[in-house]
Amino acid sequence: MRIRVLAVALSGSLLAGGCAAVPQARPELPDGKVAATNEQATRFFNRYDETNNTANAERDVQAITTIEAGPALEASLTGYELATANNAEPPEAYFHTDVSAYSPRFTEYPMWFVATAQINNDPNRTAVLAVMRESASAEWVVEQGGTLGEADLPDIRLEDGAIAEATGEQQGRVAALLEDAYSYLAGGDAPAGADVGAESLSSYRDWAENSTIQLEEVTAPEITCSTDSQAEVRVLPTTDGVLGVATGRCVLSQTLRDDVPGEMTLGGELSALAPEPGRSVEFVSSHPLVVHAPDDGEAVVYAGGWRWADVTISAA
Amino acid sequence: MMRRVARVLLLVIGSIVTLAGLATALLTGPDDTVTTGERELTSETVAFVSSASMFDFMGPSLHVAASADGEREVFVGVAHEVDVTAYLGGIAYDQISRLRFPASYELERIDGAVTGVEPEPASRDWWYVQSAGSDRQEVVYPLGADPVNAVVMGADGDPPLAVSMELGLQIDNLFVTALLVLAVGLGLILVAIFALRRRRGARRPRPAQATEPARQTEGPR
Repeated sequence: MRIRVLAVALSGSLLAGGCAAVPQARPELPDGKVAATNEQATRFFNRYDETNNTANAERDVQAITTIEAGPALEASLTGYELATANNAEPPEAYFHTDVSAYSPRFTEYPMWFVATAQINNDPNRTAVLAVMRESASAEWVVEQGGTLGEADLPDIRLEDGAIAEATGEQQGRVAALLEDAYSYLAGGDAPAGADVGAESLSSYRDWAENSTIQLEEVTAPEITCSTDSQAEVRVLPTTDGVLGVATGRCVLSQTLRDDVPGEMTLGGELSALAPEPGRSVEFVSSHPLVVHAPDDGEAVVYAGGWRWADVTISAA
Repeated sequence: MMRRVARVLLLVIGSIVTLAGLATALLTGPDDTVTTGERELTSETVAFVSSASMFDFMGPSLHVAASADGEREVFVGVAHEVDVTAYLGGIAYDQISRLRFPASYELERIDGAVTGVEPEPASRDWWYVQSAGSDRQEVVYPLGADPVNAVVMGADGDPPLAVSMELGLQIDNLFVTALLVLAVGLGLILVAIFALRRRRGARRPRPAQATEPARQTEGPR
């Protein structure tokens, strides 16, 4: 009897005393890692905001090059050039808040993630940005994206913490919706089944129709729009369909009519980008786009503010 | 006979449990950490990197500590193996392929260029934990679901490397558990000894007892 009591007491004390935390086998997860956690993305945007606001205030080309690449960098550099030439006031500083990061799993570099955030905690200013890193030795850089304004974005579909792999059909839907957006930007024809009412889309249409060269000697504007090849389309399956992040690049061309001799020069603030005379002019603009194609219901094309990428005048 | 065998078996088991508890308590110490102890390591390459398969479990916390010879600053960090592999891609380093607590490391040379890495390791933001400095640097990382590498290198990212290095695993409550196991083992030994002594006492011959003579039945008077 005493033996039993002693054995029970010892066993009980062992259990009550708190056994060592026994190591557990790692769960079976797909290979690789997500590009960035929310915390890592937040740290990046803290650094980005600090550098970006300083660079914008001082039009510091070297600084902006450390945090941006692709279409985002091109538009920033062009913006600096225009602002310097026209002695413009620097933009107000702003900050990304409530950052969430979404990425696939990567087993090697390059890696990317799409971040959603608010601007200055304003729920009516939702930013969507695609961020990429070429190698483990490189820095994260914003390659594309913008502030959409008020946007009711769907939940991203996650598997083991990473975005689900997009199917070919989903990629096709995003590509088709982007083509609709490009058609609207180029020609003004609103597509069926897609909402293209974003202010940044209509403001480009207004500029194309009203603020281009309105002279008899010059041909009517011809616009072509397509996905900017400097950045890949990022496709993110959502709980209700699919989301795509891309940058549209529109080229608006006007030429002196063949029967008109001589050359033309640009007036206005854009002349700073192309001061030389010529017979043809191309206005290149950059359009951050986020397209949402739900399985049911109307698709939506969101757009960040469009910016100048380049303006050229040529002899041809 | 069977009881005697069981009691001897109890004594043997108690001794084994006691030794196991004692050894674990001595190896662990009150900080619940089993370590390799400080080992002097030198390499012509840029880094010592633990293989991800060495810590193929979750729960314990990985301790990595190192100091460099002389004035040189040392870097210690833990990161996902995808990042470490990419960072050291094409560069030679020494991989710690196996750990023998509490004694030694098994090293394996990963071929590549015997050169430094750029930029310096402390500038990378993908380390889960990192520390750099001229004195002894230590990081602690709770092992989770991700495969990780522990890395020790010069803070300047240049070879060669001469460091004093220590790896450890902290398992919560391990020391207390080891003491309890020790106590259980000692308890089993005491119980076995007590039982054996009592058994021996039970086998002593008993003194003879006088028996009451059978009462005779009286006949009817």
